[in-house]
Amino acid sequence: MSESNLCTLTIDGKQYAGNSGTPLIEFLRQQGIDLPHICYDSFLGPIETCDTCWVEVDGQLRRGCALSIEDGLNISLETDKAREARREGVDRVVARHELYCSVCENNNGDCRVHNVVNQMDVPYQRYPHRRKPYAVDDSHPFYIYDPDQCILCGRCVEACQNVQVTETLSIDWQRQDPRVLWDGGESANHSSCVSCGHCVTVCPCNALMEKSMLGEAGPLTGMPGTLKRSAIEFIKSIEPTVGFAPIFGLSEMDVAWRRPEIKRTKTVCTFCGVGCAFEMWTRGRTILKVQPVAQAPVNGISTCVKGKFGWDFVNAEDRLTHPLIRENGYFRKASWDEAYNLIARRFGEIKQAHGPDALAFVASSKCTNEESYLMQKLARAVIGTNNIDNCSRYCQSPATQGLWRTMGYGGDGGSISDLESAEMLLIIGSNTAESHPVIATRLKQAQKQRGQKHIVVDLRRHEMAERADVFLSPNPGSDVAWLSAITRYILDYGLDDTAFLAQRVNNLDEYRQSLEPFTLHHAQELTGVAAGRLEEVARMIAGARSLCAIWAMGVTQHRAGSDISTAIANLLLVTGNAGRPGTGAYPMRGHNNVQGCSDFGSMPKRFPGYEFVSDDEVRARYEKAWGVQLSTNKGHTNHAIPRAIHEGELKSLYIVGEDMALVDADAQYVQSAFDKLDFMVVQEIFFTRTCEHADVILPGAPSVEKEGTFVNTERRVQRLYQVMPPLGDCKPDWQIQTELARALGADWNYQSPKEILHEAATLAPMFAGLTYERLEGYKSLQWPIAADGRDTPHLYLDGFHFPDGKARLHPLEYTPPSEQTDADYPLHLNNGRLLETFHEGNLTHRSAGLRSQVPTNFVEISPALAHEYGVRSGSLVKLTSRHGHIEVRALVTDRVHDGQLYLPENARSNARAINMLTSNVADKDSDTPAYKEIAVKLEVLEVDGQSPLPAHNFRFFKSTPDDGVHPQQKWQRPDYATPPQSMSHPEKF
Amino acid sequence: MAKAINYTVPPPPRADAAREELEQLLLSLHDEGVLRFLNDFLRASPQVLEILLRGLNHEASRNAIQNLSSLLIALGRIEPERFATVTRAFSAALASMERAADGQQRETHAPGLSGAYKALHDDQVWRRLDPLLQGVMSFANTLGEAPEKAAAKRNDGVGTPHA
Repeated sequence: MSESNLCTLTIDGKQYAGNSGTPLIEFLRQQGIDLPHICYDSFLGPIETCDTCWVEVDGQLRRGCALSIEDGLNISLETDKAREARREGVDRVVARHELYCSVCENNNGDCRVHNVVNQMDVPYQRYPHRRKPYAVDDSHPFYIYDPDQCILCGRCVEACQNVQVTETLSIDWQRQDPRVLWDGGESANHSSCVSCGHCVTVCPCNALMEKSMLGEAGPLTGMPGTLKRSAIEFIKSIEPTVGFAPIFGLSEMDVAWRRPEIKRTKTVCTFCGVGCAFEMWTRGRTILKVQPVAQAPVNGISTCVKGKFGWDFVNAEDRLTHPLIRENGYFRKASWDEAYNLIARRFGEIKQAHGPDALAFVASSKCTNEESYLMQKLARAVIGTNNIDNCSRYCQSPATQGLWRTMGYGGDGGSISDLESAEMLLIIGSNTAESHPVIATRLKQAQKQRGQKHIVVDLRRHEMAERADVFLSPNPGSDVAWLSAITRYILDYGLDDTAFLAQRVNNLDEYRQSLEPFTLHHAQELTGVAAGRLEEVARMIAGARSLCAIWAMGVTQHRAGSDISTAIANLLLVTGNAGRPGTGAYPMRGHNNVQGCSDFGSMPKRFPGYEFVSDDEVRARYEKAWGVQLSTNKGHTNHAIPRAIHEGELKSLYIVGEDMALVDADAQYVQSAFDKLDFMVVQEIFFTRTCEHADVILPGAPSVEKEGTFVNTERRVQRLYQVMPPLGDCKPDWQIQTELARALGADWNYQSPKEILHEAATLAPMFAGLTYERLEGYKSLQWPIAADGRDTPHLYLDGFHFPDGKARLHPLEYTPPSEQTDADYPLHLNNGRLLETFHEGNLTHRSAGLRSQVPTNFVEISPALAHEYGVRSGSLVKLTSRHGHIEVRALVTDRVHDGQLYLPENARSNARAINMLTSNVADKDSDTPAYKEIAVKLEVLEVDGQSPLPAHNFRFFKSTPDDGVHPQQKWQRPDYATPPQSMSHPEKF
Repeated sequence: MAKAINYTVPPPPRADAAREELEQLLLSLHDEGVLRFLNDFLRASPQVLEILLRGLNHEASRNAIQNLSSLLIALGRIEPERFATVTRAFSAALASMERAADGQQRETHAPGLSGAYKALHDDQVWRRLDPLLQGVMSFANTLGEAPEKAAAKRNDGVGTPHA
């Protein structure tokens, strides 16, 4: 408690001291006083609708949730007037909400309405509950809204408008019977709702309820609806005589009955690199719901549609549950021992015949750090090769390269909190709202509530672009030109941070010389963006007190991906936007553990913690610990693997959790390479396109069936706990790797992931202080982590990661995109994610709810281009590139510009997969495929057809922005009476 | 050479949820000692039942069971609102008697006939009888009141602040 902020106040005649500005409810809680409240939530703040928290301040009734403590505050909680007002408030709540707790899915001990009514010893139903003139809305695939249970607290509206900032929900206080509305209408599934689940998470009762909970939560909730209604009516009929006490007694017993059945386990999401942590509620293998919690360090109460609702794949009927072995052109079931023995024999034969470098290994960005560590150890220590890589090669290796060149570490410079606090954000090639939705919520909040400025640069008009203060749409692949041009402009006009450059940055002169060609007019020619517009952006950036740059695949998946990343870093350094809070470079990691998979050594050149294999001292450390001689041969990246197979250099491949046959570029080339392998092992949870090529398939386990740790995009290590045991004969991947290593003759005996992490932390200085104890529950650490457990939320506060502590400006030249449009291939094809799908769709396509929103992939085409080609939404078109062709349905939308198309990557078959069209060209510095450089031609196969996006998809609706719940409108109604006065129709609002 | 071949993963056999629940129930019954109790009870059931029946087969027990049944039948005939009035009347009577008794702490003697006559004029006697009379009066008055509304109907006359 800082002394300057200290205040003293009086509560019921007693003196207290606390931090000025602390919300009263929080302060009282710290003192062991639980002031009743329903609408208030520490994450959402005061909403002032439930009228249950009245206190007296100097004799005047005030809503306690709206008060913060300050010096001299004199509060009375236990006066008759305050008690009567609170009682009147809660009586009104009960009039709006039917108490049938024992048959209610929300009666799990955390129902806010139940707990407050119980806490206040409300003896009976004072105002009768009357049904509202609205039916239950069960239109939405993931949740229901029951107006009869809704107390109109406004939490859902506040969460939607001001936390998620999708701005769909509102309460119409002017209606005779107010209710929650979706874009002003009454159907949740026909609205701009993005199904993030915030509203359901914060609902204090069962008005908004996950459908997965219905009939499943308690022993009595599964009874048929008619029986349930009869039971409710019976209890309600005796309640007037017996009062609430025995009924609450029964519901408390019901809570206790549910407790042994419902397991709540902390886990970490696997759908992107944000690193959302939450409780997963299960009963046996049934996933009841995902419940985010305020103490989760990244997301708090936030989730996106996939994290909240997208877990059907865990119990999908087509999960692989036992090893499969290819035999005579078919796959047959096999025992684990048989599979291990076959792999050991074949690996041994290939190694014997062709040497260890004839085998290659691909680790999974969906698996844990521990499993990445074991995979690279298996490759290096057991087989003896550096042919080990992971899918960061497909996405953010160029960003890592750019940051290694300029700042030193290949990770986000700071934390998500820095992004929130920055005055300005430069968002390049990142569809943040769909690819990293929970980070986007924080950015949208900062923009909406604190006026943060957003400069968005993208080919496509996605949500972040729609909301941007400035939106630029340069020609595809031209980013080095405009970035370098505005950096030069800033230097030329003395708008740079001279002191920062002098004190903390090297190589200014050489860099300046390299900028010579990058005039604004040259940039205009290359990018198509007017020089004046670029000048305006340059001045905005130079004028910002703090700026963070965010980028993603739109930057990295180019032939010059590393250069574009470097150009961003250069701009940050020239303007002094690095090495201090609220600044820095933030490449958005795409998969849940793509950061950790590289961090823990699944890369050809580097050990865990990014130490070089070629470094004799480092290698000696690992050799001593592992008891083997390690190879210094150069390893293949995963994008180079197909070529090495075609050239006969590689004979065997072991892939874990990566549908490489579809997600690597130039898929036909990849698949034909796999056909040539002597022996291939795939470790997966589903039979993917890649599995079709395997000789042995090992059934791994998804994250919820094992323990381990993940690293998110801000370098934050978090622990995940086992929610349920592996399905069938599946095994956690670390266990498979351990047993396979033993079959290969290694002396591995890991009994738990904890042992593996301990070994990695002992060997890699970057993780010296990383232990399971320090990650217990929702605790987390951001690397590098010192031996004493100190972590690093911001990387460069004490200097950049170079020997002299100074950053390095890196000279660049412009490299044009590899594929240009021409008369034969006149259209540029962009590609990427959709909010509702993850990667190729092996996980998300198994969710009926998600598929109801996006049943298939499609190609987006602008209205003008559609008119030119005679295309409508639903037309079947053939896209042909220089490398292959696919057939998909068209969606006409102004999100894409004329001359450009956009294809989501969610396809699990060759017929529609984006990588049938991509080339084998890669970033010249990091070997990341140039996925974003595709020229195609379009042919119409069928003009008429069903739109690939259903009419209820959120993209077809316009949101209804508002700044909150507006309780004043409620108070201003003529039929509202301020408690403790009674109301004529409290059941209405 | 490993040419691509497809494979359809057969759906897993349905988990026998009923058997799993039964096993869980069995375990819970065992852990909580219910199985042991029931086993012991069943093993000793002839003796236990004999003891129980012997105890029930007395006149007093039979009367008690019959009287209890009569009471339950009678209670079933009374509207809860009316019965709430009766129980409230008893409560009011008892309270009145207690209040009246609070002021009566003096010794009492048998009055005899003349004493009884005198007692009719004796303020002290009336003071001692007063609790009983007050109780009867209070009971009778309460019974005379209109039946009370059910709790949920108490505020049909809206705007009434609660007590």
